[in-house]
Amino acid sequence: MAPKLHTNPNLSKHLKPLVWVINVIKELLKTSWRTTSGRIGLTIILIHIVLATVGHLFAPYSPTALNSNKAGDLISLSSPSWNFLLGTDQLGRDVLSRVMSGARSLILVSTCGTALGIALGSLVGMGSGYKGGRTDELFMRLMDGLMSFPSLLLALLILTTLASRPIDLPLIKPIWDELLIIFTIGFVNMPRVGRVMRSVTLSLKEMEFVQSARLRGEPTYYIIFREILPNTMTVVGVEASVRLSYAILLVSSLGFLGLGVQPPSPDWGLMIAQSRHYLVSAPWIALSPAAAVASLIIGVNLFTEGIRQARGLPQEDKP
Amino acid sequence: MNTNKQPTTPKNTVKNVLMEVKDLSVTFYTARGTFRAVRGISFSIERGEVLGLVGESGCGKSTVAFGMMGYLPDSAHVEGEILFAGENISTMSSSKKRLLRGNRIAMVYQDPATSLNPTMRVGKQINEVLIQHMGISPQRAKERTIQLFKDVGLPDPEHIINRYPHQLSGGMQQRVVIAMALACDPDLLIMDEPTTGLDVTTEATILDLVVSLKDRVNAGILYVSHNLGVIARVSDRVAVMYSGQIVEESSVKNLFENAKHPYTAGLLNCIPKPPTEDGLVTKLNAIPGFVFPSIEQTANMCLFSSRCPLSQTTCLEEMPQLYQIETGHKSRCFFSKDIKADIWGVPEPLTWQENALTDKAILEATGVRRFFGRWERKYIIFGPKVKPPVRAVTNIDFKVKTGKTLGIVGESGSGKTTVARMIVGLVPKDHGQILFQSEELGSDLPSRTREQLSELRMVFQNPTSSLNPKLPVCHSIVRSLRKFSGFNREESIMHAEKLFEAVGLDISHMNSRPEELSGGQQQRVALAGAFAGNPKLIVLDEAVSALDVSIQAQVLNLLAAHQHEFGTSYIFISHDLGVVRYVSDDILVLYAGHVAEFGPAEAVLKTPSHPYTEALLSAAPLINPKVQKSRIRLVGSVPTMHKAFKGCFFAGRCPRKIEGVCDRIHPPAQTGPSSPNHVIYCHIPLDQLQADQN
Repeated sequence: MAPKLHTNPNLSKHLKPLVWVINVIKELLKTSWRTTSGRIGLTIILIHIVLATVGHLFAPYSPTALNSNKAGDLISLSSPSWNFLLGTDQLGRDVLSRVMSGARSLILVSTCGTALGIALGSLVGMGSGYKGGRTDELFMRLMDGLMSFPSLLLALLILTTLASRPIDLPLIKPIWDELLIIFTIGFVNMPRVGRVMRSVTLSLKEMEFVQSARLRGEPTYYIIFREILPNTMTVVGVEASVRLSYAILLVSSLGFLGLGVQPPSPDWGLMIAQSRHYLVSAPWIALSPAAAVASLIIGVNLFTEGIRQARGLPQEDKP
Repeated sequence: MNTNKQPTTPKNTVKNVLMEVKDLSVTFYTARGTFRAVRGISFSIERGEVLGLVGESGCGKSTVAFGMMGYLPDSAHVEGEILFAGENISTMSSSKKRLLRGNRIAMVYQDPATSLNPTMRVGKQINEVLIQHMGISPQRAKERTIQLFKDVGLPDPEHIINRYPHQLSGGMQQRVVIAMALACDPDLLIMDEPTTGLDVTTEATILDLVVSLKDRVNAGILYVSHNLGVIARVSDRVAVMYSGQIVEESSVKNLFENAKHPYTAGLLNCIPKPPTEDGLVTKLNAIPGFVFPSIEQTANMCLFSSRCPLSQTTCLEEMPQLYQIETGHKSRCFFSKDIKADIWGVPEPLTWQENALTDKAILEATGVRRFFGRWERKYIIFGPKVKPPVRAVTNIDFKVKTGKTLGIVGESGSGKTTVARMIVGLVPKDHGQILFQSEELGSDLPSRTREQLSELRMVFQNPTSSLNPKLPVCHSIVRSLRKFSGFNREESIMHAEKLFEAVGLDISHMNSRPEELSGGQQQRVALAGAFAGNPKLIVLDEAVSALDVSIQAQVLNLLAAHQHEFGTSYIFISHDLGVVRYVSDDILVLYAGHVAEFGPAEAVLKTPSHPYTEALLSAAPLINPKVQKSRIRLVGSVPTMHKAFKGCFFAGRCPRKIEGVCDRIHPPAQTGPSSPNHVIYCHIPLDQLQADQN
């Protein structure tokens, strides 16, 4: 899984962790591909990624265009027809085009948020598990405190607190909203990842190879990152994909509550939120983005299931 | 259920074949390939005899045992016949097999803890078997259970039936499992390494039980073990397995005196023997090479030929049969007539024992103590103190001489590993002083200097977990070299290659994953890592206990050679007295965290010795079946060490306890007669001990 000790001597030292992460992801994909559910899940995810990246090129209309008929009237709330395969919304925008391009920010934000959550959680969990004693006790009680909030409530709390401060940095300003959501997702995921990583670390730190690294006088960071971390990769992989599906749900929920991407850009959560007034008269507007979110989450879950099956890990699920 | 018991026949008058295995082959079809675990073996077991099945790990002995129970998984393809009372088990329907199991064939597994249901009282577990299989009333079942517990030597059976498995010691659990196996008067008892996880003292009592069962129970016993000493103790006949074949079959006496297969002769040579009368230690003659791979489907050659000193062209062209040499003695070798004890070379004496005659101590421990845990109070931080800390090691003193080996022996729970960990600094000591090369060692790792770390190394018991499974095997060696010798990456890799060769490994394995190496190779890598940085003292915590005898001999030779060349000192910790006796210059006997006896090896092993040492010595299984040893058996297990001992720490189990003295007063340190460095902590005067022990 990890690269061999002295291959690729030209590779600069700083790129190594990146290569290593890519190798780990490759390994996870391969593992999951070995099972049927993994294959189905990966296919679904792949379709979503393709749509998110190049979907707008194939979309029949622009996702933000207000379509009108020859007479100049808005074609609003039109039911699915050959012209508009999934119908149009209250402003006459093509639902299919919006669904096809609405995944981009969602996928990006939830993936980055999960990655941040894994990173933060690993750091806290492994550090506190390895140190043990009072440090461990303190960190774990903090994590328990964070976990006692429902995730959505915690996310709202963080977002509303942080979003009230305007930011004026030129580079960051255009993506400030996304960054905020990424940070929120990361923070909400941190305690759960931390717990899992701590328990793995606790069992690994008693292993004799860790003891012998301590006897070599290796520093703590070296033991954690070089000796323990590579052995947690299966757990991290499973945890990451479980967290990813929750992150997607959370980001869509935030969008639904109006705290995600701002209109008029297409976003599944936002679309559902805006269409809820027309649920009876035009259910297709809500149904299509909802189905899209659901299929993405199902895809991620099937992928997780694939890794679990291939590695023979027990089934477990926690919110 | 009608079991059709034969009337008891006097032994050796009527041949009464119980189980016959004819040309049995077992092949496993798995995702990782096809493995031929058993290659055409035949043997039979008679009523009232114990057949020992011995071989190293991976030779297929457990597969045979499971095959006889009909327990092989679906991935196993079985050829040949396993006939029990004329019926073939391998083709039997599963309902019929179920009737046989428990009723007529019973099995005792290696780990008693997993054979018992942890949520049920042990008596009830046996009652259930009796009610199910024998169809008797609950009242009679209970009576029978108590009787069975009496038969297997469990003390106070009326109370033990109400205990849960975790309330019993390992030895008692194994007795319960044996009682359960005997519950339905089986015709055949299969014991798969029943004493492997137990302490020597417990093992000895279980072996006594098996030997006595042989006469009392009218059944055949198949005893599977990797330990030749154990096999010698219990068996009537022995079958030696190698690479899925039986290579030699004979009576126990014949096998150990007159081995007729080179493999058996080699195994006997590998077992560490105590120094001879004139104090000479002989080098072990390890069997070179590796076991014939089971992934090879067919082989038309002698499977042992690649490792055999007598190998000739015939051996490579034809598979030898199991030739009859004399009545009851078969060997699978073309040249069995040429086999003598010295085909593996005449054991050379290790002469270097004398050239390092310094008595200077490299490590000196005084009053070292370690308690685990704190006083626990009833309500976390309030209330009365309810649970004291565990007194793992209590004020012990010892010395390691420069260039010499100190052996530490004791049962599990005696504090050996805690001592080892305190020396290297993995577990901080509470009290006392450890001087290393006349400098005081800090109690934890950060307080030690880099020199101290590099000069004081440790090798762990489990070779698999002492290497990081995700990193190449050379990783730990390269890191040690970089840390301790100040080499850069390229230099360390170069030096690591040298170390790799020094421990007898191929450089091509440098970048392999640990899982690609065998246990013996992994332990060599761990040794190479310990040798890096020129250590002065290596602590070996059960470093050879997990290895097969032939591999163990290779590692012991390697250690001896390294000591000879570099003058390294070792602390050698083992529960196996045979190995400790072979390697040590000094021996420290620990019991319940206290020193029972400490002194030069020959003084400790000779009389007079501490009653605990005496018990350990008499419990250790010997490979020479002729030697009748004094039988001292300890009952019970090491006490829980929550309280300080009022009198002697060993008083609770001592067979020579003096009432009124030993349980009141701490034992005095008595100096042994042969050496001023020999200390025995005992109340009994040494003269009297000597007289009692001879």
